[in-house]
Amino acid sequence: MNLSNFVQFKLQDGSALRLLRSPLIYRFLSLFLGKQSPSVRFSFHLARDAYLKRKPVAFTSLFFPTELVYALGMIPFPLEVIAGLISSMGMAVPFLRKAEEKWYSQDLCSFHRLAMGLALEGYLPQPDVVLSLTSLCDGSYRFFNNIAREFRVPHILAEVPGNGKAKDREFLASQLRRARAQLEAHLERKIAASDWQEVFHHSNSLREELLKISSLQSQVPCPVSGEAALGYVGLIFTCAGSPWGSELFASWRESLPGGPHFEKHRLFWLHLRPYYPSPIFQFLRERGVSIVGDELSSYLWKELDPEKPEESLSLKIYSNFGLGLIQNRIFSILSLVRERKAQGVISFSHRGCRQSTGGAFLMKEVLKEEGIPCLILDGDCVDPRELNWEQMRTRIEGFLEIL
Amino acid sequence: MIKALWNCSYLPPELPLQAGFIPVRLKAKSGTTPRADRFLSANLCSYARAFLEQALSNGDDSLFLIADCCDSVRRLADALMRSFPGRVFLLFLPRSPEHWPFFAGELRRLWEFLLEASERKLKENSLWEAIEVTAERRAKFREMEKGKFRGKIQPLDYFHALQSLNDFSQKFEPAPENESSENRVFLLGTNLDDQEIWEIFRELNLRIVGDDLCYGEKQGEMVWQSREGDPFDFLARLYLSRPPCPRMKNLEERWGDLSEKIRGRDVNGVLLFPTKYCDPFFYDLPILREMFRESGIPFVVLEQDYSQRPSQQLRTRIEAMLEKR
Repeated sequence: MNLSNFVQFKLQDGSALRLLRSPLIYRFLSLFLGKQSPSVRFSFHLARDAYLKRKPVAFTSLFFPTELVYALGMIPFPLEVIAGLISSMGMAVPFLRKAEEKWYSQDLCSFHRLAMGLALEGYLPQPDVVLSLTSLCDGSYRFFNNIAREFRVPHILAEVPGNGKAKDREFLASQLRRARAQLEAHLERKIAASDWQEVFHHSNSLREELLKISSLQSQVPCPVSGEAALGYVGLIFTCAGSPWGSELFASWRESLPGGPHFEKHRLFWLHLRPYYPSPIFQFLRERGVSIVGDELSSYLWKELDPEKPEESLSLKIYSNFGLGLIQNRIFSILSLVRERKAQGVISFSHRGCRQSTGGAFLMKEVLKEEGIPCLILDGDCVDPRELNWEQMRTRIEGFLEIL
Repeated sequence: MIKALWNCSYLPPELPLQAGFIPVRLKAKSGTTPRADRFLSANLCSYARAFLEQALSNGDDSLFLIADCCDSVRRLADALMRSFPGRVFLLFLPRSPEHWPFFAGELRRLWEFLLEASERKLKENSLWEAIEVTAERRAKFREMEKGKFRGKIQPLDYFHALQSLNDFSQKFEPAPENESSENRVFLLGTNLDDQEIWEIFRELNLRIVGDDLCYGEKQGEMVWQSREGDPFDFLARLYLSRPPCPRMKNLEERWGDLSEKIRGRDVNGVLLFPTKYCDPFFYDLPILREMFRESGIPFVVLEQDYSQRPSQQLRTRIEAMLEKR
């Protein structure tokens, strides 16, 4: 039994709640850690430190700059990433139902509903603070507010207006400076210049690794598994600022298979993937489809400057081309599609997502004008009850025929 | 004169009014949205979709002033910009009253857009004229509200008064006072544009004695004694300090004032009208239910979906709530 099977088994028999907070179980599991991949080892350390409260814990929204969290000696606990992880273990439905029983509507984003279910069932560690941005997802502001209420801890929010003009960046930087001051007071710990240097060094090293992977995705045939890349998205937003980031992505890059392989179609992926077990990617592989990139792992930021920490982080947040009006996103997607030599685009329409799914028709229209076919796949990233595989398969088959 | 259609009660009509446009809040109509369906997917806020349908059906040369209040509305702005290039403005709306300087900058940006569209050259200080006009309309509205609190105003009359307050092509027409009724209810929701719903209220002989709607009572609560200084700073502070909606503040920060209002109005129940796919309001619901139950206030949740005409179920559910008292 491997580590993830063991954790899944324990979740199913209901004893995981007790085990998650047991120092003994972490000591026992650490005996098997040596042979595990860096991503499993990173997840182990994150869970251990958070549940055993070895360090202060910050619940974070996906795009919150974890560099600030690491600089303060805290552990980021990214709830949307955790929701994806639970779904990938096939454990989403009971937690989704729990949230729905408490009147969290099925129309709300299932990443948030699932995380709320985990909170209501007591499966999350006790945080010290909740940190979120309004970046991309407006629903997240209210979700993280409700989470902070549930755990009776402060919620620090930074708003991300517009799409990154100088006045927007300065407005965000000033909020990050304020968030830093609030956190320093809350934790009674100051960030030293050397903390920023260390954390930014790690973040910049991660960036270097992501650039290498990005250039591999332009190769024909593409050596990078799109399914795996989509699985790694959450880690980019969890590891930035930690030494794990570059180690984890370097190890993955080095493990990529070399040599030629069957590649009939090259497609670019928009939004996230379904995390629960589903036949989508196997089906695509069997038909020679390479996913040569996805938008969320393509946000590459400028090198961070420890002399200007908040300004650098503000600039990094604004490197997310999904912010603001959709023209920016469309322009960046077109450029990525051409760079990766993709023949078409799959836009995965996560049911509860207003910003990405909401723009899918507009995106499709512009891509069509540019001669790039786009398939909108309706589904849900973490709620397997929303999967209609037969319908989805028919639509994918039809799309591949027109390429 | 050209109309300036706007979507959110945080967008000051004072600016288009002074720039020579007729500010009109664009009401959404219930029903199918064949034109909007080309741009916006079915899981977007049904108000945003209905707004787009209305805009695409209009066929005139109106401007569209959109407050960037949520993801759905941002996509609405994208669709409008594609259909009406050069006629759409997206205004960023910060949540905290402390961020009024940033909001004042956004209002200046809007002013420049409006002056360019109207090809006028106006001094910033001239804005005080429109501020006075709008303040007078709101003062009359506030006066009318006293009749509403006493349960003397028919729901349909109130609906028409709200419409006229936000349509500057007409004078504000206060609702007349009428007989009171025992069915005193409080309305919670975003906007309630469908007249058929208000007709159901009338048929049930309800009296709306209080509301927390975007375009309701809160508009009368924007009062500022000292009108001086920079008009953009003034407007930014005025709008960001008004009673907030679920998009701006979480429920706990709003509950104190809201519950005090509800208790003070001697209501028989609260009607909650979340708009379909309105995330901020749906995050309120679990906590609202908890709080209403704890405080013993009867309530009913009646989702408003602009893609459908209101059903008669609405009537039955309100009747059931009123029978519980």
